[in-house]
Amino acid sequence: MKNTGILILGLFLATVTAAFAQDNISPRRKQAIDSLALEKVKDLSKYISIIGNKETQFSEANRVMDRAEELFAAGAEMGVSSINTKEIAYYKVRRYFERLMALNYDKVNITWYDIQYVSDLERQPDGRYVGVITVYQRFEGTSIETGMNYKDTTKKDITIYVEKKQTQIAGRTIEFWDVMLGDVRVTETSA
Amino acid sequence: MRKSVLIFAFFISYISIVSGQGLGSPGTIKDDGRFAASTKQMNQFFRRFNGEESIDGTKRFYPGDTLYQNEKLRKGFVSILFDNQSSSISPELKSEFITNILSPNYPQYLVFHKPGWIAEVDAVFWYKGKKENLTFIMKIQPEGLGYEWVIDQVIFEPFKNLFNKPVGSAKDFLHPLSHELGFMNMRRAFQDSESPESFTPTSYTPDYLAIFLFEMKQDNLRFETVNGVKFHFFQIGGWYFEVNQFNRPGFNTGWLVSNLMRLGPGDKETLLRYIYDQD
Amino acid sequence: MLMAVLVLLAMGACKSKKKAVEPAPAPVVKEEAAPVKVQAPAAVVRSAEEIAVEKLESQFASIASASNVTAANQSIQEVLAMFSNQETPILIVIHEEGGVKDYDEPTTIKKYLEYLKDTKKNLNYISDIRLAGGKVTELELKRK
Repeated sequence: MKNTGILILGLFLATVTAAFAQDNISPRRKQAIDSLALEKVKDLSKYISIIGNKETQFSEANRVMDRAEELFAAGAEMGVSSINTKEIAYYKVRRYFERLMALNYDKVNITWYDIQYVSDLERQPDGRYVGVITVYQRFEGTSIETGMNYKDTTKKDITIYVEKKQTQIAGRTIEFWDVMLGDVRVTETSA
Repeated sequence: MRKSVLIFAFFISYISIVSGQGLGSPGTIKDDGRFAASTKQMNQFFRRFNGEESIDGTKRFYPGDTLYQNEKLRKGFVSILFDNQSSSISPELKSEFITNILSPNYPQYLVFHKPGWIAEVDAVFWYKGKKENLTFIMKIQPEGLGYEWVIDQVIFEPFKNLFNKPVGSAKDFLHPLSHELGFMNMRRAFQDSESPESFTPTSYTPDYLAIFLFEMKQDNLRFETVNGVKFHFFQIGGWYFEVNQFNRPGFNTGWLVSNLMRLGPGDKETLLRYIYDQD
Repeated sequence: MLMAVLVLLAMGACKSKKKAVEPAPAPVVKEEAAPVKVQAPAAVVRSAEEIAVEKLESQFASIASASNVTAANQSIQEVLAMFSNQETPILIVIHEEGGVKDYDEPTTIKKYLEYLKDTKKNLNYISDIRLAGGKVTELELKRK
């Protein structure tokens, strides 16, 4: 009887340990992952600013576009809508950057608001975690010839995928948190 | 109204207080409080409604944290989770709702993973060479190691028009002794009638989702875009509310309650029928 | 009501204050040996590791704050010369709890230096270093 009790307790403990051996994301760990994801979003923001800047050399912009594209999971798309219409234009990430670089302004200034919101991480059916980070961008384009000045503020809802992965480093197995960006919904705000 | 003004004022002053504390970095624009105040995601709507995040949205509260589901925090939040620019929700009704959900004996919260909230998605599809509006009613369900959104119902005018069951003397029928002739009269019935739905039971309702899936597989339907999304909530006992996204100047923006109703007996079922059938 | 919410705001403000940046460099920790404190140069002969760490930290900072691409690239070349090869793996610890380290995706020294140049961010300090034949063979960084 006593042995059965010990056996049951042992099994229970083993189950609990096993459960914790999976990706248990404690609040502090979540905070660290949030920070990691936010840094990727800040990197993306920095890259976008570089790509859009007319003073950036073509070769440099292309190199930065490669870095920016590496942040994204395969197949990620940008869905862009303006304030006037409900129409959403869909672009593959690379195409979005190419269009940004090709904008017909003499001077482009892209800056970001000092606010971001990070959602909770939700688990997908395949076990990967998914979240959304919201940031706000201000775009200003000036055309010297026409004297036209275009300004807009957009809200960007950026999907993030978080997954525990493994790799071999110098003969050791290292587990790391892989954070990739996914679809981005870009909405013009009336700010 | 006055309370909302106070809450907005706190957002502005709060942002100025903490402006030097790592929120901004060189080259960023300081938010004047508009974006902080905005309920930027549905995730934020849930967290604010439940009092599970800080006022500036940077800190998540978990069970054990001092402010987790704090009543005063919730009260401050819930009043700004309403679209205050429409007159469709009376201040009395709003107040009654807030008192209800903050009841000390039985406070009520929204749970992301539980049933009782649905999404209404307005989409555009190409169908038979024309752009048509199609509405999805969707819900969250557990799947595999996590959760997913699934389509619960499809509302599509062209499909509805396929089902026009006539009534009374206008309805065709297969007479009660058709069986004695081996249902040979089916041949004429199907040939002459333009409404084969006439021969269905009284209780029959078409499954538009099944037809949608069939037409998709037949390549007759092609997705174009999503026009809008709104949410219907039935999780709070005795209440229904609708959440919409408001993109406009000011401090009352983002995902906000746009409609609120007290539910009497049978009201929930009526509302659900309305949402699902749009009849 | 006003006081209560202001108190809540104050509490919120205290809670959401970002962790203050630790002064760099932190003491170098060798994996098996006891932690070695960085001492004033005049007093005791420093180890090769300590010297390497100080040099690297300084170079990381100057790459991230370089005023132009040429200056940054110059510093990058100087750093790469300190390593056994450009593909030397760099581990970055983003969080440590209960003895378990959470890592960011491992990178190489070359990619890390380019990252410093591109983003102008210097978020990490050196928490561990391995030298062989005077060259750096392993480097572990940690979030400041």
